[in-house]
Amino acid sequence: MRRPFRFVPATPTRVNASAAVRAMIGLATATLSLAACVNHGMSSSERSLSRLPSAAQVASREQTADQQAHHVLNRLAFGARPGDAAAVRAMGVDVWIARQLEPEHISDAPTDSFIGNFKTLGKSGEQLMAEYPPPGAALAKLRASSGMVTAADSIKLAAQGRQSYAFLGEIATSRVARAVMSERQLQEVMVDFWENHFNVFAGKDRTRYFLQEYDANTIRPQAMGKFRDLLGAVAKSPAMLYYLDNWQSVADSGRPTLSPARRLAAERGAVARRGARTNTGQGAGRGAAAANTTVGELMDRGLLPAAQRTRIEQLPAERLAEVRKLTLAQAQQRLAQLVPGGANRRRGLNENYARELMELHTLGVDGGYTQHDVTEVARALTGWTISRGANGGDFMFRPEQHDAGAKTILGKAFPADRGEEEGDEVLDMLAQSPQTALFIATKLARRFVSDTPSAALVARATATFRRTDGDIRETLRTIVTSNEFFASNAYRAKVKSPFELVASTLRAMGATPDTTPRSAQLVSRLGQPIFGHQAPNGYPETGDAWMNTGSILNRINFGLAAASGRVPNVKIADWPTTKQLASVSREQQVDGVIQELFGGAVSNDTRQVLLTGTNPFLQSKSAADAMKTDSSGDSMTATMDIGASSDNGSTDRKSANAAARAARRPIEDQQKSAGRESIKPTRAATLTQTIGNLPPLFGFTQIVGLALGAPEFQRR
Amino acid sequence: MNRRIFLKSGALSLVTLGLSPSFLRRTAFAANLPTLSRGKTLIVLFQRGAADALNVVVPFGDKAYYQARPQLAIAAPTNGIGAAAAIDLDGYFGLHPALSPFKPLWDRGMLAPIHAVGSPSSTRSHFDAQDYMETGTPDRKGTTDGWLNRYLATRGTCEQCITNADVPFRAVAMSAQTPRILEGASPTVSMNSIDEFSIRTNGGDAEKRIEALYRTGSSDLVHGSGSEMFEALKVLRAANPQQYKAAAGVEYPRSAFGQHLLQIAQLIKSNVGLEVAFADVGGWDTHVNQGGAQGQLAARLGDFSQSIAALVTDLGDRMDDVVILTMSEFGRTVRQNGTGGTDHGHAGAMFVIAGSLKGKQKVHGRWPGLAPEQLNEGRDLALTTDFRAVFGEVASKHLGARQLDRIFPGYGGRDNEWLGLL
Repeated sequence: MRRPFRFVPATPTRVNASAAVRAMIGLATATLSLAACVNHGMSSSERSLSRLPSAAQVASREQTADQQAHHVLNRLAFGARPGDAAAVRAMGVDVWIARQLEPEHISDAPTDSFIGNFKTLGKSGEQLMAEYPPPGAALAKLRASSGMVTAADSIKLAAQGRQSYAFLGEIATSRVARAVMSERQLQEVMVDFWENHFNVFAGKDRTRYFLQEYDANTIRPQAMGKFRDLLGAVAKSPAMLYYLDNWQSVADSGRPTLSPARRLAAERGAVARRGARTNTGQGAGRGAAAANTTVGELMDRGLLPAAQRTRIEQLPAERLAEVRKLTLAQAQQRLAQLVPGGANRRRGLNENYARELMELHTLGVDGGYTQHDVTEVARALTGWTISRGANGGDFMFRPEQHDAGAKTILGKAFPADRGEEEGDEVLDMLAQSPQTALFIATKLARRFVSDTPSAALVARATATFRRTDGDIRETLRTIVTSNEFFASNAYRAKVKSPFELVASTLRAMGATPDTTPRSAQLVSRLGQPIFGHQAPNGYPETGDAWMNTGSILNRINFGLAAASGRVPNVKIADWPTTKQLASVSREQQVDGVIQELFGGAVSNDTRQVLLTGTNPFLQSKSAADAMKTDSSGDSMTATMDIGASSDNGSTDRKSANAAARAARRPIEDQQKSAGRESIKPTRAATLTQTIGNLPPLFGFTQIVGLALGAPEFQRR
Repeated sequence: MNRRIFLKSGALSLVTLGLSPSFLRRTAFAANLPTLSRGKTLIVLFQRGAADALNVVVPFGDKAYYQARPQLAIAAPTNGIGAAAAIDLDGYFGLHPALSPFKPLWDRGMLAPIHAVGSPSSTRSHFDAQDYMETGTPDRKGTTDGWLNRYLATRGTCEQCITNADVPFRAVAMSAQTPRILEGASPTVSMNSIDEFSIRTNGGDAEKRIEALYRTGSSDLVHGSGSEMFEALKVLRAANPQQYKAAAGVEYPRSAFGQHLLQIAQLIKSNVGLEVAFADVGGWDTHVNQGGAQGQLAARLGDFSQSIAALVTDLGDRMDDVVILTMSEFGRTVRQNGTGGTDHGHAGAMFVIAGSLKGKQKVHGRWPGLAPEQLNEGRDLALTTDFRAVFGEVASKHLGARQLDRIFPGYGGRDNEWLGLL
């Protein structure tokens, strides 16, 4: 049957989703319709079949068929659920890959319905700020009305402060839930990849308000599309504009800007120059503002620069009425009289985004740009801001903040008096640079193949990226159908990130996804809080960064906790393998668990330990001393138990004390600590405190616990 | 190839040669713990939220201080009575009365307050300012590692230091997550309590078996980390830090901060090779009802100084080998605001507490004054000492750091800016 395919985003897309999103969807639809015409009604999998690797290619792979099934589930998905490996083998590894490369054809209704539980997903920063006011704004309101703050106010503000972080839990929980249950697994892997590549940090001031829209509108729709569209969507997303300060970056004083009066001309030119590319509807159609336009009119039309608007809005009512009647130039003089120090506000260029745009998002650190290029790119991006500044809104180009001088970027001259399209051209240049192709291809190969991908593979992926105008899906296809991908030395070569470890454990144990934030908290306590990486470089993509004394201890404890029923929705009793192995010998149980969790291949040492508890290596080296552990050394104290229990459920004493404490502690501090807690938990927040003391593990449960804590399960 | 990988593959080649793998060597090493030479320890304490430096180290000799803070100012020692007045240090500066546990340290020449110190960055964002203080690179957000971790990494370049760097509890943060200041390539341990550093199964042989899973012929990254971890467990059990109770008469506050310092003392006393320790404490962002001699800030300072004084007394003679360094991301506005508090400012104050101070009973740093024309941007205490001058001097003189240009890129070791603390 032939029907037009249309990609339906899993979360509601906002009505004013950027044109780039619509363009991408349109593009996908067009491509698919074309494909459907050419193939005359072939089914999706039949169409995919026409692009499958040749039989000779498949035959030359080093991994066994069993390994290949597990390998693709560990790399293009977050691990195998019960039955997945068999299903992939039945379908054929290559058909499965081809299907995952086209997530728009995979039905995922249960996930969409589950995600519907999270009411804040897809909401804009502006909406969230209205529903969950930021602590600072609530405090300012209170200050303005009464001046002093009572103890009752303190408690109320503290509660509001905590609420203003509540929605963070939903975005983090939804990320884990989708990784666990979505049928569009590769799409989810790519969302994980890009949200890390284009990292933003929830703990920086108001960035957290923009995460919902960042996930739903910026990253998710273009995770498998064209790199240029993704780059543009990120550049214009409130989350990135806010996190890397570009929303505040304005032309240095003394530089010419596009004044409101010059703006229309520039815009008219821009529309003509821009041609087919229309990344945003913002900014167009508002018309020009002449030099004699009043401040009131500018405010009403949203043309007043954010800094000035804030200052004007803070004036008392009668002064405000006066200033509204003045022209902008007059108002600036008047403001200097009315607001001490107001005329000399420090304003200027902020290079933060421009630098990371090249170093981390496109060219890479050795990508051949200079400090001069950083400054010039920052100048080109002045005026790229958020319509209501720190209060959210949509992307907006503010010509009066834009440095209108001539620039030279990466050797190319940009003439004076350009507007928004100047920044778009910079993004075009960066997206088309061979350095960017190399940088992105290397990073993808590192994610999907190994920490040290071969130069030959990277070169082929780079070539695909360049040939297809930065098509992410096609670059991926080159990588995940390569012989390098299916080489024996790629099998289990990657160390799982904490996010991958938690998701793969929940999947392996057949757990249903969690509606509470607990599973996301586990990810956080294993060292990878979602949207919790401070620096713009994102979490590391290589194994050595994830492996150290503390992290391996946490991972082992996590595996044991899962077998002990301390991980949300993991129940050994309900695990299909448990039933299958209920009445067989220990040896068969060990082999059955190995088959299910590792695809049947682990080292003899590991099998031996699971079977007998002894390690042949250590036996043969007569290093029995090294095995001696102080098994009587139960160092867990009563204090720990209290810590653990008060973390899991609040006791009466705890809540009774909370109000008393709230009255004593500084308000903003309470809000801050509440905020930090959701990102970098400081109170009762280590993994061991979360899981508490575990019961002794025996028999089958112990086999599962050991397997989940084993070195092999730390790898994918 | 980074050093850790080298060590791991090094261990493998030792096995191949029939020599004992490094974890066996270290087990022997651990058995001889008491004979380990006592090394130097740096304890870094972070007051998160921007402590109000002007009410911590009170410039009671500066008239402008009292003009700017009619309700919040702490009375001069001569004008107030007992607990309501500043504790005189040098006739110009005094300690907040809630810092009375620091007075004996001052008298013994173990307390060095530093004023008008901080980050040259003009940011007023808690996030950015903490980031800069922990990375040691003001106004550079791209820095991926913390300056303490860079110190650890640069130490591992001499032969003797490789053994040294293999000590699992060389760098410990008493916090759930690795703090920014310790992030980086050099291994560190973060924990909320020593108890937590354990395999959580209570009884049974699961722990032995899981250890056996990691101690196999394979010494790859994952197995190697596991082996190291079980070594660390063994070291901890042999040393048994919790056997060291606080010295007679020493009472640590029950607060999280007090308990974290107690455990740092236990790690030091048990000779596990602790070289860098870190703890933080919140509650300093006093925009509202900050209080004067009593109130919110006083309560925070009480916990802060009681905890530190307990640590110093508890460590006794060992303070000769210990330096405590306190810091906060910036100071607060000179003028009090409309809600009985203070807003985000610029320069702040630090304390260096050590048994080996050079300049005894001296308030360090150049005082810029609080008259309106002397203020930063017309509102804050101006900066006269870059925090890297303090960090660099402490790292160099106390820990023997040599590569300050790598620890503080773009700044390096400007010893002409050092204050002569140690």
